[in-house]
This record gives sequence, C-alpha cells and structure tokens, in this order.
Amino acid sequence: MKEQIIVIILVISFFLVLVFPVEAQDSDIRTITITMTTKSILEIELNPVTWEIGAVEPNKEYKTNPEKTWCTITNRGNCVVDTYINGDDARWVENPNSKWILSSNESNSENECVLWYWIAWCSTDYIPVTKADSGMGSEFCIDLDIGEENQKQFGLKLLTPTSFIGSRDMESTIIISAVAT
Amino acid sequence: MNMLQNRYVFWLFTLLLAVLLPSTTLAWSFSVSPSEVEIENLSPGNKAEFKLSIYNKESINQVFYLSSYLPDETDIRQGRTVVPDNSWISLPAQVKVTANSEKEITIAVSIPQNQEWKGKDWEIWLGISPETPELLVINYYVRLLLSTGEATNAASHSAQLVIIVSIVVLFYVLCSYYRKAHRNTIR
Repeated sequence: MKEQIIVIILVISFFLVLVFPVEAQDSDIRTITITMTTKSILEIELNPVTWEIGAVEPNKEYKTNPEKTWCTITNRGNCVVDTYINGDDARWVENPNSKWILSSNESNSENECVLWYWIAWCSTDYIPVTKADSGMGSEFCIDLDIGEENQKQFGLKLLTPTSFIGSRDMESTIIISAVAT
Repeated sequence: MNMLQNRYVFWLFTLLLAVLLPSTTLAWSFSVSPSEVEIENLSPGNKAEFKLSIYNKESINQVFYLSSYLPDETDIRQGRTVVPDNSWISLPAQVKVTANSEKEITIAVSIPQNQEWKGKDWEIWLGISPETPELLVINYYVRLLLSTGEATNAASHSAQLVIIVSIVVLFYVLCSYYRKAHRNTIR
C-alpha cells in the first residue's frame, strides 16, 4: 500500500512540476502592456472651412479666391501626419435625397458636378476630389510637419452640373483625414 | 430638342443658388491624444482597455463621431496586418464634449479565444470626426497597434484543471490511507 501511495504522489508531483512552470509562463505572458505616448497630439487647423460661392449657373467653373492659396492647412499637433482627402455628393439642405453626384471621371452631366483641388507650389495641375464610399480617400498632404513654417495652402475648383433645379441651397462636405506617420 | 433648349435657357437666366455653406468660420478646433496606442501580449480570450482624450477647443458643445476603420495594408506599419475583425474594438458611436473641455473615452479590445489569433501583430485605426455642417471637415485617425501573446486563456484553463484534478486525487489517496491506517489501529 505504501508503495502505491509513493507512486501516486510521485506521479502527482511530476504533473505539478510540469504544470507550474507552464502556468507561471502563462501568467507572465498575460501581463498586457499598453504603450501610449500621451503627449502625442493630433491637431490640424484649416482656415477657412467654408466657401461662399453664392448663386451658380449650370455647366460653369468656379474657383476659390485666391485661386490656389485659399485655404491653409496647419499641423498644430506635435507629430508629423499624413493627410487624405475625400469628397461627397452635394445635397439639398431641405431634402438630402436630392443631390448633385460628385463625378469620379472629371466630367459633369445633369445633377453631376466635378470638384478639384490645387496645392500651392506642389501641384502641377488640378487634382479631382473623388468620393470613396468606404475609406479615407486619396493622399492629400503627405508628411505634413509641425508648425506654421510647414503649413500648406490649397484652392478648390467646382464645375457645376450641366443642368439642375435652381434656387436650392446645396451643401457638401470634404473630409480631410489625418493620421500620424 | 426645343424643350431641352428652353429648359437650359430658363435655368441659365434664372439665378441658381448653390451656396456651398453659408458661414465663414474656421474649422472646428479640436485635438485628439494620443495619436498612437500599442497593446502588447494581449492573449486571445483576454480584454484590454485604454483611454483616448478629445479636447473641444470651441466655445460651444460639440458632438464627435467615433468609429473603427480597417486601413489599407499599404498605410499600416511594416510587419503588421490589418485586424481581422473590427467588431473586436468596442467604442462609443458618439460622444458629446462640452465647450473648452476635454473628455476621456474608454476603448476596449477583446480578442476571441482562438488558437488562430496567437502571436499576431495587427493594426486598426480609430476615427474621430466632429458633427459639423462646414464644407471642410477634419477627421483624425488614431493608430491602434495590437500584438497577441503566444498563450491563450484556454491553455491556462487546462493547466488549472490539471492542478485541481491532481489535488483532488492527492486528497482522495491521503483519505484512503488514513482510513486504512485507522482501521488497522482499531484492530
């Protein structure tokens, strides 16, 4: 009987010797580390954010004034960021179902408008603002560094639809996304 | 054709109003901190929480929308892949931040208990944008870097099970031994 007990105790001890280091290892692995650079701040300033275009006619181009330096984008945070641009359809304020589709091929048609941007001293041509249904759009200012000395300026150009119903206040949104590089 | 021409002329000479936003304000001034969060050794089956701060620098209350976003593989850190499922990230859909104040938001990350998710390096972005009628809107993305450990909760549970079974067996054996010894003493 004594021998049986000794064998059983040895078997149990063997298990425990195997299990405890595994358990200890698991406990160590389960120590979750969360690293947050709390001083890193995302802050982008755009000035201005509205374009008072006024009354427009069909099939006509409108440019911001000043044409290519209308808006200034400044990185007021403390980390370098990449920015992306994403447009959207222009909607009638009173009935958002009534809209001007934002063109994806730089050509307008009935209720379809085109929007472009030009980054001063960087762009060589107007670049279309397109609508990405899912996603953050296309690259805008990459590696936008901190401070006013690194700010960029850009302008917008709108080509109105070939025809549309008049006397409606249309509103649109251009999203500028920023992420730390 | 005549009708089309008439229609065009009508619209051409009618003042058509397309006001791309009526005010002249600056962008909503707000900031987000941190710009990047790294979670290491989060074992499948476990949960981690962290806080993000949104600072509303405007003089009026502001609603911010939050969402998780799966970026393109080309936009994420080298050596990482995109998180397989953005439902693992729990965050409020929107928060209201009072004027000139800061609000902390708790974000939770839960990895399902599955051996498949061991030892992975993932990335997902958290989007924060204000509710605003302006033409130009700023949207921030916070990078969330996520690394899972080699162990899972299942492994540690089985280890605990073995320990419990071992203790029960040891207890049973000791009881049997003392009962037998006690009987022999009585005899």
